[in-house]
Formats: sequence, structure tokens, C-alpha cells
Amino acid sequence: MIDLYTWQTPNGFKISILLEELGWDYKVHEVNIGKDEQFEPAFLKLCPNNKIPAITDSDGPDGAPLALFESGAILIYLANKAGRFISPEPRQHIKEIQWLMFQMAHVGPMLGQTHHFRAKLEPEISYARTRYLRETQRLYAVMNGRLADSEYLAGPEYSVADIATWPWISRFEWHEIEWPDYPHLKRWFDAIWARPAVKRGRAVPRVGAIWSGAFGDQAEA
Amino acid sequence: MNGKALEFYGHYLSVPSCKVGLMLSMAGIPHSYHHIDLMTGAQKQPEYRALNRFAQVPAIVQDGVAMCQSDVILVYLAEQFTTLDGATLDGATVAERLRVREWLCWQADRLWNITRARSQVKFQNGAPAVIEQLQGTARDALGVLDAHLGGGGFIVGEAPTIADVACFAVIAHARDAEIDMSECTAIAAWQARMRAREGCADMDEIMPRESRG
Repeated sequence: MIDLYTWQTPNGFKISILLEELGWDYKVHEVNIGKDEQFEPAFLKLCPNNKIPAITDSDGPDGAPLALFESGAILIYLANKAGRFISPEPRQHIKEIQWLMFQMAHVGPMLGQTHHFRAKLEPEISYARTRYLRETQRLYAVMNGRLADSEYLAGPEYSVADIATWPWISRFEWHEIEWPDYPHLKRWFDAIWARPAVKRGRAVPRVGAIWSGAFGDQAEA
Repeated sequence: MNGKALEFYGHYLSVPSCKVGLMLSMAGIPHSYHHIDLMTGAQKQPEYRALNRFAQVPAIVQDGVAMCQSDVILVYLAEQFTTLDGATLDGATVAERLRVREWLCWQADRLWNITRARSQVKFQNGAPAVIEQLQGTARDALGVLDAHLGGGGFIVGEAPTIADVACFAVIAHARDAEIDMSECTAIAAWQARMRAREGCADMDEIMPRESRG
């Protein structure tokens, strides 16, 4: 039995999407980062870095329970355990790990900074906003170029690299991009969004709170 | 065609925007739509504030005049336009028009607790006590409307008016507010009568997600 500690953020969606793809039974525990629940002692025992997601597996590699944090490591662990969405063939395997690391090192951190600075309207923030937005758009071009030659990021098969990356792109509305500039990325994005498991995983633990910033300040009447 | 070029500014997740979108659709009023990206704070930018001093969606512009506050917009549109088949979305008599405006204001006051609850549930991770209180007042309002609609017809008279338009758009979001509507049978029947009308549809169909000409 997998216990998933998560919130509705791209890093959280990675794990719920993979678990939905696997069709495994799992239990969701909400860690509301808007209420600083990631700093609670019980969660820090699972993840000393106070970041979601984290999992526990009652049936770890040696049969004993395992606790794990870092979304990339969790993806690798679960995919290996299932023998799905990660290739056993060495050449393909390391390509998948390569694109997964690309997500962990670039797509997540840079888009994350874009999200952080995007709502800030103070003039002194404009340097940061511009820097991360430009980097975000550069990464869109990198992925678009790759996907011009490849069905999925790591090759012809949908893998953990795609599962790791897609949730970040699912916040494209924040990235000030025009889809016609990235046709291959759009083709990939739509193909993954068409997967029922992705729709289910994207709604864990609940739908909607990503909009809180915009609707928290009486923006309508 | 009785409409001059009309510009509509809104956001598809905004209930007041939905009210105006539904109105334009049911009245068959030609318009251009401008998506105001609340995520990027577009409503706070000077060019939008020039249309709406309150920095809120929706707004409309017609003949160079900008208007805001969704219920005021509905009243304006009801007074300016007839539907394509010649009907009006306002009351037929002075007395009916008075009733329409009473229900419209009631919607903005009491029924609006649906939207307040939705905001807490869907967007703001509100405290459970706050959500329950808002859901309770919303259910009270739905009870009032359900009793009123028990006799059939529409909110005022035998044809839809802007009171129906506003209430329909608000109630369409009750599910987001996690409000149980199963006991509101008269409202459900009225929703079906509304949907049978030209231009009335679910909000997903009414509201574009992007600007369009």
C-alpha cells in the first residue's frame, strides 16, 4: 500500500499521475502548503526538506516499509517496482533518466521561479520576472525541438520523463507563451492530457486551488 | 440584428462574467470577447482600469462607453436590446420590471452566498467553519427560490428575464461550492426550462477561454 503525501502542485501531480497510470490503490494525505503543513513534525519525518510530495510504501524493496521524498526519486522507485514507464534496456533507460534529470534540474526549478515572481507587480521584481520567464520560454524551445524528432521526451514510449514534465507545462497559462510557437510540444501536451489517468492524477488531492492567487483579491463583481 | 459592436471583457471562471456571457448569448447580441487573465493581474493594468475603475471583471464597452458591475450591465443590456425573435429579457410592464430588479438585487445579496462559498472551497482553501456558514446561507437562498419557482414559469412571469439569467449563472456554480441541490426540484425544472431557450447553455459552452473577435 502506497501512502501519498501531496498538494495540488506540479511536483505532487507527478506522483498521483503515475499512480493513476499504474492503477494502484493508494491513500492520499493532503499537506496544505498554504497552511504550512509541510513544516509539521510528522511530515518532516518523511521529508526533512519540507517539500511535497513524499510517499511511504508498506511493502518496500526488502518487504519492510520505505519512506521516500524527492519526486524524481519517487517516480523512479515506483516505475521500477511496477516495471512500467521506465525501460529495462540500458540505452533507453538512461535516456529516460536523462530527460527526467532535465526536468528536475531545469523545468521544475526555472518554471517554479517564474510562478513565484509572476504575480508580483512591483517594478523592482521585473528583472527576476523577466529572467525566469525568458528561461522558461527557452526551455519550451528545447522541449519543442526535441519533440520535433521524438514522439515523447525520451523516445517513442511515454515514460517517467514525460510524467515528470507534463504537470509543469500544464500551467502554461502562466508562461506567457503562444502555442503556435511550440507546435511539437503542444502535440505532446495534448496527447498526454488525453490520457484518462492524467486527468485523474491532475485532480489529486483536489481541483482548483492553483487559482487562489487570482481570485483571492475580489477580482470580479 | 439590433446590436452595434460591443466589447465584452471577462474571465471564464468568474461568475459575474458568466452572467454577462449568458445574457449576450440569450439575447443574441454580437460582440467581441476579451479574456482578462486574472492570473497575470491583467485586471490591474492601467489599460483595463480605464474601463473598470474597480479592477474587476466583467466590463463591457459600447459606443465608447465602458460599463462595469455585472448586474448593472444586465439591466443596461435588457433595456437596450431585444432578442433575435423580438422578445425582451426584461419585464413587460412597470410592475414586472420592478419585480425583475428586486430579484436581481436579491440575487446579488442572498444568492451570491453560492459564489462566496465557491470561492472559499475552490480557490482559497477556506476554513471549514467559514465554508459551512456560507453554504448554509446559500442553501437558505436556494430554498427561497425553489419555493418561488414551485408554480412553474420563470422568476417573473412566463418568459426569462435578466433575473433568470443572473440566477441561472450563479446556480450553475453551486456544485463548485459543494452545495447539495438534490432537494431543489423546482429549481431543477426551471433550469431545464431555461436550457430549452435559445442561447442558454452550460457555462463551459457560454464562456470562451480565450479572446475572440
